[in-house]
Amino acid sequence: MSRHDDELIRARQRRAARVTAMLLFAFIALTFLITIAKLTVNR
Amino acid sequence: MRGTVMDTAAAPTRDLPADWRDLFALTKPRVMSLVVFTGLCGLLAAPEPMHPVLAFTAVLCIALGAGGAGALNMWYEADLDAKMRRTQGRPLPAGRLHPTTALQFAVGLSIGSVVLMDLAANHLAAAILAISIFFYAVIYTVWLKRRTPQNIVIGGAAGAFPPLIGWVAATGSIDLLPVLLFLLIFLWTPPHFWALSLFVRSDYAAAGVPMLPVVAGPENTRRQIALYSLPMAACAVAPWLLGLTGAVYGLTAVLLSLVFVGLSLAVLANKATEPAQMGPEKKLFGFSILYLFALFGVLVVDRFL
Repeated sequence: MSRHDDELIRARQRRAARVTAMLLFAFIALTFLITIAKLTVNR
Repeated sequence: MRGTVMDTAAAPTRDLPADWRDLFALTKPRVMSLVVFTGLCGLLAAPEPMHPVLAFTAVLCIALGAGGAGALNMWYEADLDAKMRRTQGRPLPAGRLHPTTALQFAVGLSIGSVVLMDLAANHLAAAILAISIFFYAVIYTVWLKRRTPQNIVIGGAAGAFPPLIGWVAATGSIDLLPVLLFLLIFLWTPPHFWALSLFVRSDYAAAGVPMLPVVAGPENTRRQIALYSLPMAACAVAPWLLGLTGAVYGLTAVLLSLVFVGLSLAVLANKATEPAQMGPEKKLFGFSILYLFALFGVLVVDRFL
């Protein structure tokens, strides 16, 4: 594997890790908001 | 039977992690836009308003479910896609994505969307979402598409679920209006797809997909398009005639449906066999997309007038 390939793989891995982190954060925030909304609706 | 992706597509680089753009392309974003729009309209047309966060989540789930079903379809059909000019550039046949990654992504999206819908809306909406994903990914893609020219007629039900899901997410029950909206999309799908498959017939023939123009010929297909457009137009106008919507929706539905039927008749009158001379078919295909967007948009406008 050339150095260029290695760099490409690492760049992709970094981007994938960043996107996964953002999606997980969004999911947690959404779950929290859904809980609040459900509590408001059921009150 | 399904061939393996490796049979026909370029071999993907196993070590290279997937690019998010390829995963996004796997969800068929253009198809998803119509699905999300009709789902949103179903939700907004419902008599009971929904909490904005829950409404947003319900529409997001419809989008994720449609994306998951689209990705499952692309995973299963990678061998077919490699044979058709229109689909050769997709991530799997082009070798930019590994099939296992695509499958994991598709299953994750599908299950995640149903679970989240259950959490945000109700069990019935989640169940209908699960049925629609199953219908598209299994009944249409696996069972019907390669076996029968009626694939799009029965499989069309998968795309007809979103307004029903939106409505049920808001109300928790099934009523006559969302059932009519379901029927409208169900009857709209065959003329829409057959118009397209008439001018890309050679692609479907090369891939061995038994689309109606390939199996029954253009003349028969044109007759079927005209035949389906009549009950479709009746379904579009029915909500107004039954007093479920106002005159704004009713008159728009009458006008747009007349144009749709007129274009279908123009397709029926056309005898061309070469795609270059299929102007009426291309016009009907383009208008059919506008037709559905306009009808559902006006339905919501009418609801708030």
